[in-house]
Amino acid sequence: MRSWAERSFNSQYLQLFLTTVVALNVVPFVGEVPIWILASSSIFIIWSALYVFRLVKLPNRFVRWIFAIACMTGVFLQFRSIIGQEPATALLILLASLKLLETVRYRDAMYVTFISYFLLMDYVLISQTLPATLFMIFSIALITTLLFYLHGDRGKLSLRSLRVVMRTLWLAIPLWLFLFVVFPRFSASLWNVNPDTRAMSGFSDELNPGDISSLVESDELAFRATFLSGPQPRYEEMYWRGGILWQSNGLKWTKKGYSSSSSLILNQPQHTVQEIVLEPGFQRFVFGLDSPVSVVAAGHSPRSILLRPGFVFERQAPATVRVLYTIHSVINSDEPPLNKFEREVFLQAPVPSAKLSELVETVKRSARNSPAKSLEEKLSDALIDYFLAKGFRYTKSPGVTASLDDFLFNKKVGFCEHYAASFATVMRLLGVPSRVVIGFQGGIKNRLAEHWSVRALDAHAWSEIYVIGAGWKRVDLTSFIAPLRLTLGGDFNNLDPANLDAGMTREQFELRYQSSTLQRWINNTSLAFDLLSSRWNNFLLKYDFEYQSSLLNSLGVQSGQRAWLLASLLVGTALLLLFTRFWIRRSKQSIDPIVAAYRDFCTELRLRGLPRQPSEGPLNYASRLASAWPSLANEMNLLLNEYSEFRYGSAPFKVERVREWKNRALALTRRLPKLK
Amino acid sequence: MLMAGAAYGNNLVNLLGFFLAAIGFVAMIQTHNNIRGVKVTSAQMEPGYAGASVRLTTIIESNDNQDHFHLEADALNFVSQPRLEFAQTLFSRSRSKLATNYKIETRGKYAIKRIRISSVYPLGLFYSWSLHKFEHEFFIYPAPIGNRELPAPKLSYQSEDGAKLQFAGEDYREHRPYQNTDSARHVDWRAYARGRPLLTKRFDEGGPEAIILHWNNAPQSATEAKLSQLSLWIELAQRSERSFSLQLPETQVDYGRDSLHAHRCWRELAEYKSVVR
Repeated sequence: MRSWAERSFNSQYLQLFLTTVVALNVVPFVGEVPIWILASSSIFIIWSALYVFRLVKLPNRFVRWIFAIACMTGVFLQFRSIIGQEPATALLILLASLKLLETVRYRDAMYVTFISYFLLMDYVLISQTLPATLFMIFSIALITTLLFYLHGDRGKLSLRSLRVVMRTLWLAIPLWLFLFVVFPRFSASLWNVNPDTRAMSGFSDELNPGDISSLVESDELAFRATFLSGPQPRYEEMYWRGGILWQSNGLKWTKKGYSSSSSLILNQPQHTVQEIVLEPGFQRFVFGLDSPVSVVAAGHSPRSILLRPGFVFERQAPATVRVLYTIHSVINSDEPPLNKFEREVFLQAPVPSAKLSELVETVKRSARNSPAKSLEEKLSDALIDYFLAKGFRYTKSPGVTASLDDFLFNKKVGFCEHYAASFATVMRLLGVPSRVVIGFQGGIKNRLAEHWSVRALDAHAWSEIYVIGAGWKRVDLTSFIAPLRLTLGGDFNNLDPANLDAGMTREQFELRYQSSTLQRWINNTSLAFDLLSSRWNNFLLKYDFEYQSSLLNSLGVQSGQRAWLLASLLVGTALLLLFTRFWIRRSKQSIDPIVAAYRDFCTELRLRGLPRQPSEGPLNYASRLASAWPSLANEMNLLLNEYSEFRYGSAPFKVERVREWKNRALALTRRLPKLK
Repeated sequence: MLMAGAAYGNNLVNLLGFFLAAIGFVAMIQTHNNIRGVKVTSAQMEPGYAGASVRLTTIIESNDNQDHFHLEADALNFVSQPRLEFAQTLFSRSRSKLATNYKIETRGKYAIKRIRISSVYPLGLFYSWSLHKFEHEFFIYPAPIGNRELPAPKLSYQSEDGAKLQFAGEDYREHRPYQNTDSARHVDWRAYARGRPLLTKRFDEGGPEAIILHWNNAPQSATEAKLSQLSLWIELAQRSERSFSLQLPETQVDYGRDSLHAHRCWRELAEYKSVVR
């Protein structure tokens, strides 16, 4: 559009700036896009960086086209589409870095700038954490500085111009917050678009040996929970229920073959209410304190989360972003008694081997001596005793376990999933309906706040057995094999057993592990960061239509007035624009006071019969005036010399001197006799 | 971005979008403020040939306390050429010179009525400008096209003795002290070598080596072609520092050899039967 669009910047500095901006905005995508995309992008960026120092040449147009076509083909082959968020992100990354290889002109620099803004937006769509927010602000500041650099002081970037950028950002903040607060939101997402579906491995509709133990390596956050009201369970009782599995294949459990909606009998009025912010990556899972009975999620319709049998809530569509919900749980749950069909479902089991049948018979025999009341509990106790007597061990890296028999009679080492699965399967063989529950157990409390952080390493699996007359009852075999797993939470998995004492509590453990000042300081810092992150996430999640309404209501803006607010916002902006326009007009008309004074002086002289010729400069005019009125020649010359000094000289301009000049000039004209 | 924020129900994207919007808004005001307080002190279009690049030099000044960035000036009624250098900065309470190139295809006398000072500072997204009344006339001379051989000197022209050429500078009349603006070719180096101060030789402007650039001398038939030929001759004569006079059907310019004289002649060509544009 403008003539300077073609202007070329052959500046190493600019190239370096652009390379830095693109590199900075590509870095957050590490781990988010296929590795070859990052690799090619890095090659382009490094190429450009080398070019900055003139170590290599830029490729010619032909080579660049080949690169561009290769990139697009690659993206298409990878995603089978170039529409959608993932391929679009990949393309943006590739094209932004490829663009660096031809950036010599102003126009290219502008392209890179705007692509960078979009890359930033893409990143923000993927991650909405506190660090992402801080990164976003930093990146905006950097890209905006680049824009200032492109349009600032002849391609120089001084401290002075940086201050201007900072002032701009600073001035933008109030408006930014104002817009964020009052700009109308919609009650729900406009369209149901899914950014992308990245799954946290380990949680699925199946339980295979090794699934959960793969999770416990990571201390990544799974969700944060705040207890809002109701009784709070002891640490060891903090089971977060996520899903149930009922199809047994020995050690492997799935949820195939049975599905029905469920109804609850709620005879327990006392609910434990929690507010949970669940990180993305858990597909349809909704976690809540065992056992959840109702859920309300912010920004979700009630039908988007359904109650499934066995006190399990499930999302209609996989979660792709962080979700905030309030969940009600009861400590002791009640479900309607099993009907005949359900009983069959929960008794299904693979055909046992001879050895396993023998084990079942042994357990049945020893159950007779058990003091428990019901038959089911007698059998359960006997089975637990069997595991304890046979010297089973708990480990997070049990190696490959081929089958249930391999585990029971050979390896005898396993993780929670092995115990939950094998216990439930054997209970079925003993004639007791049972199922496997997957979720989390434990968490760490942020002392600075009221919330609990449950991490991937707190992932857990346990079993439930059906006791006639009493309903489903939780039996966690792991708690017998490794009691510290429950008292210490998921941290137990990553600790050296030699440093632990049996019967140690979570508090003792924390004391032991945070004895050094440094450790305490690190711990406190991470708690503070966790607190800030949590508050920030909650704010971002909660600030929706309802929150905005209630905030504006509390400020005295009624919901009916919101249209007015928006209208006045628009009218106000329009008025402001008009006002600026008026301002421009005015500044255009304003004239230099010294010119005005000179004009007045010339008018007076014209009236006295000696008008200034249009082409005449002040000095020429002065000499003509001097010859017309020789008596005042010196004063005349002085006056007009002073004028030209004011007007064209380098002396700083002073209003007082101009006023003084004007008075003197007018006084002089009054003394002039009129010419014939 | 707001659409994306709404579509994904993502408040951080909203935050990003609103931040950019707010920066844009502040930038809009800054774009306007940046141009405020810039005054045009003078604007001058240097004369030039039709179809060649001519330069408008605008001097601007600031009497306030702020710096003004990325300024460009142009004459409102002319289309400027692509700018190849950075736009200028005008620091607070100082002056700055802005250059803009134009290419005007037709000879003649032109008038600038208003100068536009504009800027896209700071983001390149908003454009603000102010108009300054500044009247200035300038001339575009006919393009120098035609026969590169100068007409014979007056002497030869009169006596038809074309073979005996006398070169400029061979028949000077007197010396005068050297001035900075004098051509080195007119310095009497011989005298200087003899130990005298630098002296400039003065010539008889209407001397026998002088050329008459006569309308009828131009071999072309069309008016514009004739003017172009004369324009070229003026340039050649001026370059070889020969004294010449210009004779047009209605006007004439007497002998002279300095650049002021040359421009006077060119102006006559530019204005020849033309209207002010």
